[in-house]
Amino acid sequence: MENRVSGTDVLIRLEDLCKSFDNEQILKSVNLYIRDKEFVTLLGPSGCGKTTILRCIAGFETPDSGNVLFDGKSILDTPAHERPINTVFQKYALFPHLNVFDNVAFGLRIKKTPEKEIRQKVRKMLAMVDLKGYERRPISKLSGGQQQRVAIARALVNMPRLLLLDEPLGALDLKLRKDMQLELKNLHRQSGITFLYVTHDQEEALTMSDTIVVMKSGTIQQIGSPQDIYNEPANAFVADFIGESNIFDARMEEDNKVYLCGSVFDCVDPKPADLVDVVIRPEDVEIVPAGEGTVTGFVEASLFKGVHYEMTVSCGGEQWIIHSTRSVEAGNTIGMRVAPENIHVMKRMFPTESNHLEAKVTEVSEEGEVTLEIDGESVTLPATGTYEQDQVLSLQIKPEDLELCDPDDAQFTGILDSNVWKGSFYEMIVISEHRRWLIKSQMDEQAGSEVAFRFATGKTVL
Amino acid sequence: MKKTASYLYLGLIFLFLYAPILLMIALSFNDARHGISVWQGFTLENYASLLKNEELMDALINSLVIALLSAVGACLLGTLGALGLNNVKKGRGVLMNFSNLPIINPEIVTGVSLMLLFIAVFGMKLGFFTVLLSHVVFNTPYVILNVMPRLRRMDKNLFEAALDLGCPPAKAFFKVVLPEIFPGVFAGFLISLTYSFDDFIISYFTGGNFQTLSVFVNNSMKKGIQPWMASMTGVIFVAVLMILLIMNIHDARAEAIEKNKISAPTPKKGMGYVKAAAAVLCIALILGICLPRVLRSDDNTIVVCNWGEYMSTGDCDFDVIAEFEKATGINVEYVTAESNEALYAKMKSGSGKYDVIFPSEYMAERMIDEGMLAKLDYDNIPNYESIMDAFKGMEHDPKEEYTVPYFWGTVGILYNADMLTEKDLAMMENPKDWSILWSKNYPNQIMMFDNPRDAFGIALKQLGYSQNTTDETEIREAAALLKEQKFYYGMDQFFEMIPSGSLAIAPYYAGDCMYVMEDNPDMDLRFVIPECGTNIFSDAMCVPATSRKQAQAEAFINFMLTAEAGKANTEYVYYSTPNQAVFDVLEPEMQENKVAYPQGTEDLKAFRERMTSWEAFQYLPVKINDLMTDLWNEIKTNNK
Repeated sequence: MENRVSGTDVLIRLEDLCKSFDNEQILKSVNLYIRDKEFVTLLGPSGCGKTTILRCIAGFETPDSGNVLFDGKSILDTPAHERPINTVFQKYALFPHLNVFDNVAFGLRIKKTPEKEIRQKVRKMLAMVDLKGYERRPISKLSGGQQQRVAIARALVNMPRLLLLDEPLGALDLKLRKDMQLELKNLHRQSGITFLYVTHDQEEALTMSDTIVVMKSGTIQQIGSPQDIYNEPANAFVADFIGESNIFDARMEEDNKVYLCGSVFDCVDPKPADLVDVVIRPEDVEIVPAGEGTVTGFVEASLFKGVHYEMTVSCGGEQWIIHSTRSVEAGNTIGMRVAPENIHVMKRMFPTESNHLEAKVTEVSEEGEVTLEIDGESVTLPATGTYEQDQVLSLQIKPEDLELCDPDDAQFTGILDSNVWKGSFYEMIVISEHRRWLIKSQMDEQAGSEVAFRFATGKTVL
Repeated sequence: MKKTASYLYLGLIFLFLYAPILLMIALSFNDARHGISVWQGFTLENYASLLKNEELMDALINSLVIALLSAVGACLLGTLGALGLNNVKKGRGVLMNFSNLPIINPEIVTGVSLMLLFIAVFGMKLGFFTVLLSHVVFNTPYVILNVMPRLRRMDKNLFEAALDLGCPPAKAFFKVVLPEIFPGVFAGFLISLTYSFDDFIISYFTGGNFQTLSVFVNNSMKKGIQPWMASMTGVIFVAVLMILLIMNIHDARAEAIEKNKISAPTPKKGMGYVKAAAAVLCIALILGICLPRVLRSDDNTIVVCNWGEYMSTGDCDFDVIAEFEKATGINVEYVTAESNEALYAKMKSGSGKYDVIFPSEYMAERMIDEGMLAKLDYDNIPNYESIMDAFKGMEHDPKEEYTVPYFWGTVGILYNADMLTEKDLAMMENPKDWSILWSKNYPNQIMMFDNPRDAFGIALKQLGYSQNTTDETEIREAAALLKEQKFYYGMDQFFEMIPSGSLAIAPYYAGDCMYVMEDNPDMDLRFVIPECGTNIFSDAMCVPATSRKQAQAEAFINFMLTAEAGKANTEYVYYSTPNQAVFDVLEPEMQENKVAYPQGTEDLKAFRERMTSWEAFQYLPVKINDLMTDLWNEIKTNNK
């Protein structure tokens, strides 16, 4: 995953970091390095393990295995209070019994800094976060934004080598959040301190970071600059998570040619495999008169979004999202063209087109039904062929032959690992006890939740 | 109109609430020499007497020390418990319920269970430490209950934030977590303080002879309402009222500051430390003054368990216990038991932890047999030398290992010469046997011992059998004999009913007979021992095997053998001394008294050997003992 070149100025390095809580693996062998003075953001949906990484670096959690190197030396044996690292907590964790000044001075006093120096440093820091004159205020008399700034000041005043920020803007309203994003970026520049920032807000990550680390279920999906991440997403998950995008199932027969939506598009990628995912950003779709584009589509809706119009276009059963400053009214037919360099070809997250599994016949009924044992579950299916008791079958189940269902009717259950809209369906990857499943579904479902599914009724698999 | 009515209503409620307290305060100024409930004039004497009442002051100090220490202990334990509970993820609710259970539990359950735990499991002597432990136990849940909500409300990251800023864990707790939960801890402390001071039931069960204020008041109630009770509760009420007022003023002031009505005093740096130091100093001072006083009673104290009125103590000319304490610096806690059997039961159950006891010879024999007595170190009891030969190496302790004789005596018949017929009077000059007790001439005027051993003893002697017989038919015969007469069964009633003339004839212990005779010189009371024989008894000083202060106990025994102490006891109790050194300093009149010393000038050992029909009780086998008890119950029911 790590595709950057690590220089000599690496401040912190995570090696094969693993951590489990209650038998659930939160971090699965994470490798990552952060350069000195860099602003790195850990981005991912909740539960992806980003906060756990932060807590392992801060020293509040001990990893099950792996190492945390600071300046090339392991700090696993250094207790939290001796690490040259400070944290801004999600809910600020300000000390309610102390006023603003004493909160900010807390770390300096522990270090037995002379009181005069403390006064100078705290004043300067409070001025930097725009809280001049608030020294004697009790914490309870501050607004959320002010508390946030005290928390940042309290951490920064110690001039740590590394500042950890755990969704520090999560509790603020939108306007305040935007302001604080800028302020934080400024503070980063002024202080010259390395920032490791955790958020689930992709826009926040794109705005502030030098480097973004996208995570999913305890693994790193991609590391790169905001531009890299946005323009060259490593897979459908990253593409879906960062910004808006059109993601399609596609096929490649040769280099620089990709087959999707019933047409062949020119692209600039070599062929990685037969089956690929393609991502096209909505603003990269060119609208041309009908018949002149690579494909033709029918505008279903057009919404004004301020800077641009957002159009929903159906094209051969697939849905495209187009952002354009020029509006085409709903009901019109348009041609669509995409420049070759704006077509991003990605490896599929699920390696095959269908689910390959083995099944054993346990019962053959006279009504043409066969009972199979799959992954220890007993499943009864309608069958057209002839089967014998104890026969072992090698099945290829198409993703559309599986459907989400009520837990009571379930034949299998698993955790929904990723869920990506691919123009006409949701591509779901579900992890059950025995295998990963690929399911095409019309129903949306929250990634990370437990889902129940079965062989689609009315479809003959055997 | 409506307003007046509501004020009236409010006034009535307050009257209802406060009338008892007002009445109590009024009565506390009553000159109550003749009963507290009748107004007899204003006085401050009840308040002055509070300070003079040493026992009361001791109890008050006990209560204060227990309250303070147990509150501190409960705060430590409860805060730690709450911290632990707060870290539990699964089943915290259930655990909280368990932690709250002691609060709902009736105190009597807590009290009895703790008492059993201390006695049966840890073999502790009930006293200061057991009360302290018990109070910590019942106060801890209150602290947990007060600290938990504070912890739950606290930002979970606070502790980590402190670590993050460079605080080592312990310092982080004191600098960040403790200030957050301190109001809860303090509330728990105050509640513990009041509940501990208030507690009666648990202190009563776990205190043994250690008295907190409430236990002392309860014990004093046995003697009736005391004038100081009103003044004491008055003082407590006023003290609580003052605290409440101070707190209200403080709160009102804080509120005014909040509203900026008055300017807040500029907090000077370090004021918090000064306040905390002052508080710690106060507590330390109170404990420093009080604790030694409380502990003194525990540390170097021996518990002496004697029979009632069997030692020269209290308001006597020569208080042997006070003299012993003065001479040795050892403190004595003096308690009494009703009978040998009661003493045995208390020791067996573990509820009686004593250092010196005074069992009769047959009980001493049983205790030796059951390993309940400690072997004495006679080097610590040099005065043992002066014990008369006749009382050394007696049957119950032939090797002189466990016992030191205290008093001896005989059983004889005391009769009121004025109430007897002339014929009987003549017969009683020199009675052959105990048959006068079965005379039909004195209905309801003949007393019999209200305990089986003495009563059967007389009946057996009357039948010509041994008092220590193990023959069941002989015992049944004796029972039948006892049933023949309708006796008045009594013990201590003897001291009232002889002087009042209600009893004409009573067999009793020689020493007590002598006491009644001396006390009623205008009555013609006479004492005689029938020729067919009687019981000659001796009580021994022993140290229970459970005593942890054997050396001090032996010092006590040795002191009782000194001529002065022995003389004081003998003159107080009237029983016969087995101690030559004591006998030598008695008034000649006493030395020659035939009731106390029937041997006259004859050598006591020779006398005892000659008088074979004067038997000492031996410990009876269980089977015989049980039979006797059964028959005894039958006799008593029959007699009604």
